[in-house]
Amino acid sequence: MSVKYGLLGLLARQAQHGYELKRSFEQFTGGFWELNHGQIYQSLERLAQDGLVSYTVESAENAPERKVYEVTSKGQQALDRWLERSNARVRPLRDELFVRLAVMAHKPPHQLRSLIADYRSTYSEHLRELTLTKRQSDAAAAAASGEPALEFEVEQMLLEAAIFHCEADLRWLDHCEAKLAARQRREAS
Amino acid sequence: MVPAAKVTRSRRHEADPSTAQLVFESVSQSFMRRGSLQAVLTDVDLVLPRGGFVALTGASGSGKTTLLELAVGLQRPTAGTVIFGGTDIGRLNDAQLAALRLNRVGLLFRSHTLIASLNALDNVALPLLLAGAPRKGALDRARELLGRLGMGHLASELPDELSQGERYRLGIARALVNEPELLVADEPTAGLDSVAADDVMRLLAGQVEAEGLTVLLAAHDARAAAYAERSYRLVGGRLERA
Repeated sequence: MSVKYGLLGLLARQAQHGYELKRSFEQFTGGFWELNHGQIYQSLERLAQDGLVSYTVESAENAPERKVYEVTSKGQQALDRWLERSNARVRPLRDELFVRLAVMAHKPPHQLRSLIADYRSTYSEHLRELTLTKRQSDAAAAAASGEPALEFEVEQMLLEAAIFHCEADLRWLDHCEAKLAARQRREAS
Repeated sequence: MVPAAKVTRSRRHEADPSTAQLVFESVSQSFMRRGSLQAVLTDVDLVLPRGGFVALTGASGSGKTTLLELAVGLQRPTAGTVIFGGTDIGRLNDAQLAALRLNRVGLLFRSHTLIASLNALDNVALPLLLAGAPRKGALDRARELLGRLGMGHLASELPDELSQGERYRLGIARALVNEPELLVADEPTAGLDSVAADDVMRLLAGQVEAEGLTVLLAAHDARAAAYAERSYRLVGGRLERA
């Protein structure tokens, strides 16, 4: 659902062909929402069928033909309606780790701790990478003159969403580890 | 995500301990507490290369501050060796240790507050003045540093007139004014909102990259620690790779 409207929103800014759309979608979601070509073309086909986008075929010498998509007035209306409904709801919290922990609940605490430690190091590394990306983005903003565009700042906020989620995951992993460690101490004494 | 940067990062950490800024060799520290000996750190080995940026994380009371204080001779270990810039600091007397901290170390501890009656510039220049530098030279250096850190416009403000984030950043400027080889920072973002905390961490990380500063950071949160090139965790007094 959000992919559909994301693509519509991008096309409302500027007509683009499929590959450009894939790149701009990934860029404007901060690089954390990758789409494969299949998803893009399927969604575009669907949007075209529903009359929300139209396309013109562009051909150049020595290059395959490509379809350049733009939003129709019906598409613009659908986009506006979607933007008006905020549709705030809580994201479902699903993670393979939760299932693993539940399945391992009858095992000794040290086994659960080693599972937690594995996740911990993966998340720490990810957080470091995100932070580095964020610093590069900050440096780009600092090098540009004047106030950064709001679009740029929103892109940064999405990157920060990934950072905060990762941080929350790490806090939770630390919390689990502390509880398991306390339990081990109680069992040992 | 950024492979080129990652390669240089890990290479730096393969640095030879003999040229490292800071080396801990089997360092242990215990205290008498309620009549019994309690181990705070056990057998800690750590190599911090010159120009490296290492973070320590761990629950409160896990020994982060103890490790930082051992690094700069504010505590002496029960066992093991701390080598600072090639010198075994266990062999230095208290006066030599104080001189080492004054000239070669930048300290950023939570308890180090700015002096309320001095403006930002004088606060930053203070360590140089205490070290006996001529006043004009000290003020010039402080002014130059404030400018470089983007705080030139705050020079004549009193600490009370600054935001909390600005005060923290000023603390960093003061810790850097003696051009230290090593900056030791104990939770430099504690109590800051996340935007101000990012500013502080960006400033520190920028000094590592631009000036080759070496940083040892104790961080209570993973987000601050993620600015470092490598982080370790203190668990039960032992140091683990995070």
